[in-house]
Amino acid sequence: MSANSQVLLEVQHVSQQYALPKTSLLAKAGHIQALNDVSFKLAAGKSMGIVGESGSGKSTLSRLVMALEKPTQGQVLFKGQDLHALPSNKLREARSDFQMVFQDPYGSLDPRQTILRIVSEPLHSTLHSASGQSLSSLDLKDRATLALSEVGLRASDLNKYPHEFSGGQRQRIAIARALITRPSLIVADEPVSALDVSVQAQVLNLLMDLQDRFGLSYLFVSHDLAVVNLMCDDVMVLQHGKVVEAGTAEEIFQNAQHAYTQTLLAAIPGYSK
Amino acid sequence: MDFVTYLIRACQEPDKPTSMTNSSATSHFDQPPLLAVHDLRVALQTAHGHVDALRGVSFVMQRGDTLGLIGESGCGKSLTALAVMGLLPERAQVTGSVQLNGTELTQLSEAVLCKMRGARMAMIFQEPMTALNPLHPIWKQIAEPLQLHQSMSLAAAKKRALELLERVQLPRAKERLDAYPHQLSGGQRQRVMISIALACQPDILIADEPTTALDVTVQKEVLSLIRQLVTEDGMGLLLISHDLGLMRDQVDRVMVMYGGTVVESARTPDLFRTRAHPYTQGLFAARPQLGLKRGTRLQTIPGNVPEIFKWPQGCAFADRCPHAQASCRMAVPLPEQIHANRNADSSSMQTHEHWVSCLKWQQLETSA
Repeated sequence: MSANSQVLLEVQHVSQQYALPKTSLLAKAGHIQALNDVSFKLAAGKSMGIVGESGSGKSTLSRLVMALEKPTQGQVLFKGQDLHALPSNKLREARSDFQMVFQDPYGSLDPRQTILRIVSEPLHSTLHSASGQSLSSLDLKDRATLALSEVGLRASDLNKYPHEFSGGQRQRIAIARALITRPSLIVADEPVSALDVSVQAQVLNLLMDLQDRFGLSYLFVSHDLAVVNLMCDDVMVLQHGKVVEAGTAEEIFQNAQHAYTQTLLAAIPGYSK
Repeated sequence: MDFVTYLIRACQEPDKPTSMTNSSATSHFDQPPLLAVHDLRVALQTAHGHVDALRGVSFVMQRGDTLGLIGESGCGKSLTALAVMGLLPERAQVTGSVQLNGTELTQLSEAVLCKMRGARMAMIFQEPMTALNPLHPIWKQIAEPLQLHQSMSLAAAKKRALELLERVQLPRAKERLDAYPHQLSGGQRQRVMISIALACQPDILIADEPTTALDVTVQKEVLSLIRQLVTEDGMGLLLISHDLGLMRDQVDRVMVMYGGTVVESARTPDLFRTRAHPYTQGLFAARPQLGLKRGTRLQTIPGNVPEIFKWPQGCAFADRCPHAQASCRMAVPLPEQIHANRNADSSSMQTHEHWVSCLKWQQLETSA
């Protein structure tokens, strides 16, 4: 990462433990170390890929960055602020600056809500209540229309429901929902792995276009190394909660040092080196 | 000679070499092929009346063949598998034929089909957590087909369940006989599913996206296990996936489906060398590959797969095809053969040929 680029997100020595259920009444409850001393920096406008198997701590890390849980140790600094030290009203305000896109475009949209309601949801929950600033329904609609147009959907889609859309379109809706607060960072947890290859290409292109247009940073969680290679400047490989390898995407994919990274590379169907 | 006639003759007149292959090897054709699907059409009942969802699928499989089906969601891959298994929705109308070892399956009653499912043909589904019963230990679920189809006693079935779990290389199989599905990982559950599918030594194994829910490293293990077991037992494998790289590693032949029909069909290495159909070319161009530079925009296929009641006249791909002309919309293009007569002494005839259903394929640049 070049020294003069502005650091947007800095994760410092973060560890996370979860308690396991007690196996017997008298035994001490065990715990599982989901993350172990993870540190990285993400510059504004750049993308960081996080790679690893299930159970490697990828999702825990994205939950910590999204300030959905507190780490047992360490700090998450977003624009220099320690997210987990912020009072809840400040955190609420800060949330409009980082948003998330989930893997499953079927499970992550409420089937009973209109697209207008879904896409404008972050405005309701952040701006509206936190700063006391109230948005008229007209404003909401305008901003939702704008967000939809940015992802290639139409204003006439606002009154429809999620079931009327295909998987790829639903993922566009999820991206519009993330964009509506004009965030600097989007955490994308396997955003294309549920999609067909042709639709996947459309969504990946859209994400890259949006990055160029709005200077977004992505924290991109994926098991697909080819996708990470395309989308990310830097890559971090996690295994059992630890960083086993980190570097620029090029370094990692050209010349993987760690045995585990090599295993992941070799596991790509059709991969040969 | 069109594709269908060709297949029929290949199956029915084994002694007479067809005009396309001067095959002298007839050993394969002393018996009917393991699975012969001929002009299979399925109409599903929808709000728009009965709509054709499969519009003429034909293929032939021998013992030991591995055949892959690729294409986007909504192109008929899973429906083809369900039609072979006789698991279509109740009001579906089926025409054409599906023959397993010469037995016509489409005419059989549900009771007879029940006896064949699990025993002669078995299926592995995508999500092992929902396909297994959470309330029964895994050995009971493996024993079920053995008790049903082979009238085994419970004790004998439990013993066999252990052998099967060992065969699918479930670690510590003996201790895990009494485990429940939630106590196993995704890969382990998929191994249990495979052992259930193989319990009665079926002739055909259908695997519908069997590893999509699994980690990449586990994916490879599970697929090579399936591949190994299929070879050992001489089964036929029908593998459905949208992952092109996986197809290259796992199957001998690939059929590309679009709009309820097969638009291209070839041996895997041939397809990876030459792609004749614009849809196949689009699919291959759209996948991200490791060598690409950061930020490279991927090629996309414009538009989406249309709903089944909105398929265009003529070639189903015409609306999304960069090369479509008026003639493409006149009639559904028939399959044509690429490189005729290439494998003159091939013993497995039609499975080695490269077919494409596109009027314009000869004018297109086949991408390498």
